[in-house]
Amino acid sequence: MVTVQRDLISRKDIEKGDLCVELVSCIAGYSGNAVVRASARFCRGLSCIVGPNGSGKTTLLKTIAKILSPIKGVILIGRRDISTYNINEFAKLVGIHLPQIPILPLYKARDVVMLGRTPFIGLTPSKEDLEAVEFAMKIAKVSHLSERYFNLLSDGEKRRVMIAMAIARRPKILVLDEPTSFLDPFNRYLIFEVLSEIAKEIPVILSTHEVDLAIRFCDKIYYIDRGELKEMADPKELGKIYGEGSMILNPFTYSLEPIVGKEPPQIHIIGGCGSGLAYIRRNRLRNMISLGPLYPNDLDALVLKELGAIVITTSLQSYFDRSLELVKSSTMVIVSRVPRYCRPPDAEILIDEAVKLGKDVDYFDFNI
Amino acid sequence: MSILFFILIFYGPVYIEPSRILGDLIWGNYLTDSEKIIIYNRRIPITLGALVSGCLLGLSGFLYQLLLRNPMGDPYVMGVASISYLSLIFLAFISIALGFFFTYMSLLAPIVVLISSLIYTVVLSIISYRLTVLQILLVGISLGFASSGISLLLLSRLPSEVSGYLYLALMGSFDGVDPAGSKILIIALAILLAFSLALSLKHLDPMMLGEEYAKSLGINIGFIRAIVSLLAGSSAAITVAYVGIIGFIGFASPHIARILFRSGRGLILVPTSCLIGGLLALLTSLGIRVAFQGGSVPVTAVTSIFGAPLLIYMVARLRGEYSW
Repeated sequence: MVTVQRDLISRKDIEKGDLCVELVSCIAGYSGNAVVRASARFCRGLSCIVGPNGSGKTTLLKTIAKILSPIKGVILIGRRDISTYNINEFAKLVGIHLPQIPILPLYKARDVVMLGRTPFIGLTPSKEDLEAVEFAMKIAKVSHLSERYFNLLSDGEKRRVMIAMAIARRPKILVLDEPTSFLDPFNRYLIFEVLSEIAKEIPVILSTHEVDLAIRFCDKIYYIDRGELKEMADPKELGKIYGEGSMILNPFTYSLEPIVGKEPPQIHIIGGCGSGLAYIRRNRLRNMISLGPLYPNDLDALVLKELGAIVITTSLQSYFDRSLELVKSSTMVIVSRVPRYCRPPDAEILIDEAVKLGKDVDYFDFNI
Repeated sequence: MSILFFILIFYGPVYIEPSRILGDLIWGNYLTDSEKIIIYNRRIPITLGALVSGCLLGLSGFLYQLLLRNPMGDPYVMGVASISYLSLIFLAFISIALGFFFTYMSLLAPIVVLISSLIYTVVLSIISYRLTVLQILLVGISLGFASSGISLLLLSRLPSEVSGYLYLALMGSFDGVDPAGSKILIIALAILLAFSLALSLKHLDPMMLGEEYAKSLGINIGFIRAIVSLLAGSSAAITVAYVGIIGFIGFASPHIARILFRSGRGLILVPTSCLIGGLLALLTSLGIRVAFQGGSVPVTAVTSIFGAPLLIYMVARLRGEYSW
């Protein structure tokens, strides 16, 4: 099994830096068209910028990386305006990773990582250059690819080589635009793990769509709300920024799920132990859903309340009557086959009532 | 390569014993005066001209492929050839009006072509400072087409013997290189190759990553682009002026170099594209001399006919390893 060795990142490889990136009432955009307004301070730690496509994450990161110049305001690195750094000085300071993968015919992966040393290289690569390249390849898990041709690697492997290129210059600040796109779930996790290790020493700023990994790894999460960069106080809000509020964060899995409960007809589920959630997911329900009766600490109750369903729990005095009302008004009743401890004993009585009322009762077996 | 070089000096329509040529090259006084003229004023300049212009074409082709990040890059892609042709036509009009066409044309042609194509290259390079790769490509190709169009219009208004002469002038031939021309070619190659090698240490490879990555690696992309464009364009301009338009060598040499040396790095490809260009030119020159006994044949025809199968064979042997 491959895991990150904690001691892999030694003091020598990433120097502890107390440099911060500061955006002072900065407006980022293309040729006069403002996209993002931002005032923020990124210091040591993993800062993640999330937001839907086209919200301006890339524009902001490119502005921080001095690829674009800000329309207004200044960006300071170590209290110095980045426009006063010359291009080579800046290149030594800031490592960058972009989502597009270049076409490099007959370049070996090692050659590509070595390109990351360009700002330092003299006539020939020095010992330090070679060491930095080895380190970067080790940390990005591409050492075994070093002699392969870059163009012939898979997209995920290319992505990791490009990340190694960004690390190879031993940057004081690392800026990465969607470093995990095209990667498989394990490698996404690995990249985040590596970056959070590096972020213990230097500021690492990245943009991502990996909501679950962002919550797990990022020290600070930023989002772009109507063209303005804001810090997210509570990760729960993450759900709200996608699809104009039609998604909700599942607090247990950190995944985004569509809201249930917008449009009728109503379906009443007598579930428990997560069986209700499984049924909704498997049948991709977006209708108005009601559940009950459930124990208040049941997984179904906790998650589906967040996702917008009507949930009746035993914490309510009149929970049985409320559940019966919902059964009566529903068009369909779904019952899961789960162990007895998954729901209150009187749920069985409710099922009998539903049958007596002539409701369309559907049973299903619960397995994930 | 040196073997080819000497074969080309030894072999020709007039037979002179190789031992005597070698003797004269080293110790002098082995050849008669007329033989000396054949060797020193004809065979050596022509062979050197072929070698050096092949080198320049290979270099130019590689630099254009790098600049445009495109495997279709070729010394004439930016319209240097069309501009040269146009300038020759203008020169023809002026010289006919002044009445010295057949006396001075052959003398003036290389100079005018060189100056006009160099000016064109400088202008393009200055423009490319601020443009993206796509814009550079489109501007170059459009200007090339525009000047060809004007040439076609003007050509129909010239007397037929003049247009025939112009056709031959740019058709591509190593036979027109005189001792002075070969010296200029060698000096140009030395300068352009030195600059390209210096750039290839650090500045060429990041260009392949694209504008934004190159910038993030501390490369002043506009400046380097202008320099590369200038180097590539001047190499092409000088060859057009002295040996005319020779297709395929400039396009194929970088590809052959990449395949043979299994590398895409500028440091390796600058010298090897150059060498392979020179080698192809010498081979072509030999082929023409053997097959056509010195008859006037467009070099492009020969390079293309023999070069294309070679390149296709090499690409086929690599089986997808060479992907662009």
